[in-house]
Amino acid sequence: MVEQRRTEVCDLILERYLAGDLPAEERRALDVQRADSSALQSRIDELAVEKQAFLAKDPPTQFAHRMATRLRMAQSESESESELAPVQRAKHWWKWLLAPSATAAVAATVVLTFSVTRVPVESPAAQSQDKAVLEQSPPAAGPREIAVDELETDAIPDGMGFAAGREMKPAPEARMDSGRSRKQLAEESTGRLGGAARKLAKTKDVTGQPPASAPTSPTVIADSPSPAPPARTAPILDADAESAVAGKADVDDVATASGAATWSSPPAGPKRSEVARTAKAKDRGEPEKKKGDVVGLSQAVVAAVVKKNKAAFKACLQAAQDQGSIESGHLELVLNWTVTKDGTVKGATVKGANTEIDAELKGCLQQKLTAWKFPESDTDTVIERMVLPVLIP
Amino acid sequence: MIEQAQIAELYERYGHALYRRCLTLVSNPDDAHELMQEAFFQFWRGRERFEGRSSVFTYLYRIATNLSIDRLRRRKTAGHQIEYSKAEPMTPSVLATDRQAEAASELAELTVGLDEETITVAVLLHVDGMTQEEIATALDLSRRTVGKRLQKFLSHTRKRAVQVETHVTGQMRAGEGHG
Repeated sequence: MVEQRRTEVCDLILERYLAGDLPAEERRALDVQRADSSALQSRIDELAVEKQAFLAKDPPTQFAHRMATRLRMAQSESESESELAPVQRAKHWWKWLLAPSATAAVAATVVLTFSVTRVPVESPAAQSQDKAVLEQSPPAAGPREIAVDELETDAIPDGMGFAAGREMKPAPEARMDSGRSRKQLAEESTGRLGGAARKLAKTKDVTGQPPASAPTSPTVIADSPSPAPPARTAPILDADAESAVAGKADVDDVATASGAATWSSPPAGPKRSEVARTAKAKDRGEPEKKKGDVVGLSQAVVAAVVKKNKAAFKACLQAAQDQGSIESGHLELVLNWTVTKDGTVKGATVKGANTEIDAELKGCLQQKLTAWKFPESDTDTVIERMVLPVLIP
Repeated sequence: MIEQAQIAELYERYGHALYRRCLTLVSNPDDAHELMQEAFFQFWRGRERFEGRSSVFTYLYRIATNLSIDRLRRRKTAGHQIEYSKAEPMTPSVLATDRQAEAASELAELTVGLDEETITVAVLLHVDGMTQEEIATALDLSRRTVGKRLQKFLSHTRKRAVQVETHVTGQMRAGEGHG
């Protein structure tokens, strides 16, 4: 268990001695010892050589550069997380309904089961009637399921009923009354909670206005036709360029890297979260969106996710640099992608703005970009020509 | 503003010692380098918490020791095996002996739940073979404090040993029952 001691003084104290970190008194004592002991002298020399070799392999300037970059990224991520937190909380409010819904479902099942199990203890006449009903039922379903179906059939209004299996078939009267399609009814019957949440999101308009028709075209965040200003955006490997990794102002910089974003989408009714976003956007000095404007992802949210995830590109860039396909210096990447309603990425393309990048790097970057996850929204959001400058050390 | 010059200076002075600390415990140069960087990162991120009661070096050293011990614990949990063949050839004086690696691995299990300072003292005593006097000098602690930390370590170790013994006995009885 014990290390083979090389000298009368342990290496840790010698390391502190070499670092100039020992208190003056102890340092003087060691100086005296060193003068008297050749073994101690040679061990100190040995450690000094090791230290020099270690520092030559990973020089302090490079180390500090990497560390500063990492610290900035960590700082930026924590800011992004705090910015995204309200959106995430608003998005998942419906999860609180899960527990009561599950309890209600269990209770309903117990009640139904209890009702079914009571059937055999009824009078012989009732039993024979039930038997007759069972004999008329489709043979594919088991006795217990058929019994449940019978009970449900009794409960549903005229004009609607259950056929074999569980598919709901609304009668023509019901379709005319509700004005809803069979598909919508089926969706509502199968995905109760999700359907209810979506329905609530559409109808719970804070303005009290009836819900507008759902947008069919995606939101587009794109270049303005005006000439692009010089990019001052999120560097991935650049420790000196501080623009995009600190402060809220930089979040906007990332989103508008290659020009002011334009919003084009058919009108839709605002949601509660949209009202909150509008208030936040107003605080940031963005132009106020009118009622009925698009309800896609905001620039700030997109930018925050980009900031949070851009470090994923580092591995691709590092590998490309190791292979010699990119060289040290500034590199600008142009990113295009679409965020779907559920927050996933599709149609990701990456290319170099100021230089060509090879297919392997392009594929790696696109793969990383496709793995990003954005908050859910009411419509697709298209991000066009976002310029992301990186500094390859 | 992150002062790169300050980070560079700290690294130049203490980087090698911290790397050696990590390497002795985790026996893998890549892991040791990563842990050394992590120690600097954690120090710099939480430097507001550094009260200056010890030197920067001993503070960093405690972080590096704790990170390395934590890595050893995770390896055990994940069933990770060190692949020496992949390790770079290092200067012999830096490589840990088998006995040191074994002692570090045992300590990693025994010190779960202990504070950084106690873990560091225990490692210096049982892995590095330093005397209590040397530990006190190296960590800027009084001899009495070192003694207290070791007492704490022993007390904690006994409790852990009882827990382990109870667990093992239970397992053996359960096995006999099935047999």
